[in-house]
Amino acid sequence: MNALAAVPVAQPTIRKAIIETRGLVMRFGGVEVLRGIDFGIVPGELRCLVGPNGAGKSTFFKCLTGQYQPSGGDIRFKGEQIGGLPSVDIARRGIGIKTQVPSLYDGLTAREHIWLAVRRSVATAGGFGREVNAAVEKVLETMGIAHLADRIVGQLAHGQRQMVELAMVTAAQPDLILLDEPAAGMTHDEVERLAALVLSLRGTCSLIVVEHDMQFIRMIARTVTVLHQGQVLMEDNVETVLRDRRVRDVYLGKREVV
Amino acid sequence: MSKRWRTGLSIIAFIAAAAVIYILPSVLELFAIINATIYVSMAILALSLALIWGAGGILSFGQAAFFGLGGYTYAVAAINFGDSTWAVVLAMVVPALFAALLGYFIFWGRIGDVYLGVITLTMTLILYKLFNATAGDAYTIGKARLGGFNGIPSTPPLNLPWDVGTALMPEEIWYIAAGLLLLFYFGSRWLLSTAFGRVVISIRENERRTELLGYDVRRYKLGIFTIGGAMAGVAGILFANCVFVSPTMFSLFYNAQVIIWVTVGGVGTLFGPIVGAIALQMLVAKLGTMNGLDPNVVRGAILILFVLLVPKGIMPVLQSAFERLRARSPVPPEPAAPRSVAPPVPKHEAGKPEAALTVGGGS
Repeated sequence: MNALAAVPVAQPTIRKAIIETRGLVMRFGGVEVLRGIDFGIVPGELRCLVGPNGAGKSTFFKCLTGQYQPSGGDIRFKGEQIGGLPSVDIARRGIGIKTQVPSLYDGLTAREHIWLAVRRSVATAGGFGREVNAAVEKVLETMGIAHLADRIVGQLAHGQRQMVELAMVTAAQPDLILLDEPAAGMTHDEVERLAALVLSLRGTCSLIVVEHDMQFIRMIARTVTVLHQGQVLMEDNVETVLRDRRVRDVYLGKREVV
Repeated sequence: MSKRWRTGLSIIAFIAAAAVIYILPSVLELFAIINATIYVSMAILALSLALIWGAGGILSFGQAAFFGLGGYTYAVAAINFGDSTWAVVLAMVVPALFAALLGYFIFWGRIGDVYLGVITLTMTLILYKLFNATAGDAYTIGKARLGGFNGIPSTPPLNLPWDVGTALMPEEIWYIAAGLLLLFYFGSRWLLSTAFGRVVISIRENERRTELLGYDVRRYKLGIFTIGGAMAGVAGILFANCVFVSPTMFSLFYNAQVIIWVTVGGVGTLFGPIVGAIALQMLVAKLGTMNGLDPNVVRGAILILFVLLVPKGIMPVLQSAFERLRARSPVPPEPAAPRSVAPPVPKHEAGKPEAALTVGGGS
């Protein structure tokens, strides 16, 4: 039913998909958190992933980034099998993630954060210190955090920390960015700014965004995938999904779904 | 401005340290100079732990293993070669290789912090038992008898490179030891400012994050662990020159002491552990001359007091006091950002355009 429910808007073929999972399963002991997920997005796409707590969104991200070893199924990134590879290798192939709980270096400055991300990608491409530093300043500027550059990140407000992490993830220039609840704890102005940034990234790289904030999703989304109890419940354009009765039932906690 | 301040301070500190090093032998008696050299060798040992624990976040309970291996390698090699030149080189290489091998299994095996502590401690205690059991004629390496719990009392002193005839005097060994301490201190500061060092520090701050950025954290940890091992080996050479090598170099006593020095001086700083090592040894030596006071009890009491009252250690507390004084001075140089540990001073970026996201930030 999953595949049938999806409208052909963004149904990718195997060759075109930048990332694709087939029958992805993740078990913890007897608990099956992901129950055969078929998912895929095309290069440059921005996909939103929604679903109630416990639907498996964060677990899905952790499988994609190698933080968990999937119990079954395939993950293909740019056509290559990456399921079960260590996080480092996956990161090096071009997947960046902003985790749900901000994962930052509390004792370092914002500039150091960006430097760590830029340095990895520039040095890998054969660049030198001066190029790295120039690129760092540019990222600080374009992401609107130049005024925070020398602040210790552990002392920043929550929304600012979110921005620093987002800047760090994009500074590494990954081909696929996973954002796990980027708007959480942000003020309305910050959310709007974040939406503008996310939209500006679309096209230069592919994004998958997990979010609960429906306002934010309306601002950025075209296609939305709904996860429920470890499976894809539906996949459609944003208006259809938000109107759908099953989706509302799932969010409001009604049990007898489909 | 803050950067220039720090560079200025460093230069002043360097000149002052060099002056003290130069003058000391003309002020102190021979016995005191040898003691001072021992303190300095211990300071180098503390610095090696400051690198791997303070900067790299790897709490090794067995730093003395590399210290002891350095000492023994030096003694055995110097006795066999008759010349200390290559013995010094070997005494750095052997602990470094040992650290690399141990580190390989620890970091590639993804062994957690607690088990890392247990493994390193066990390793050094095994070496302690092993070298204690080397009494008798069966245990000789070339011309060197390992000597069981007596160690190798005839540890040869350093000589000029490739000049066996000229053995160095205690004053000269003092100059070498103190010079090496300076070199290692500024070398470590340089190391931590390089790309390698900055990644190492990021691993201490958040290992998973560094991994998700695509850095192979195992290599960086192995690198800093190996460098720390080599440095501890050098401390062992200097110690062997002042005293002689014996299995106590591997003992729990030394392992615990290093950790106390680093804790008291300040984990995460490089200068603090040096101060901690020298100050505590001077204190304990002083107390040792008094009757009725067990130096070990004093050592333990100091550790407990520091952990309870000054958990960050001497240096961070001094640093933040210094920053606060400067912030209060009538002509503030510039509201420079606090670098590492500093009071959260709210700042207003008056001249800079406010970006949208500071609205809710309350900065």
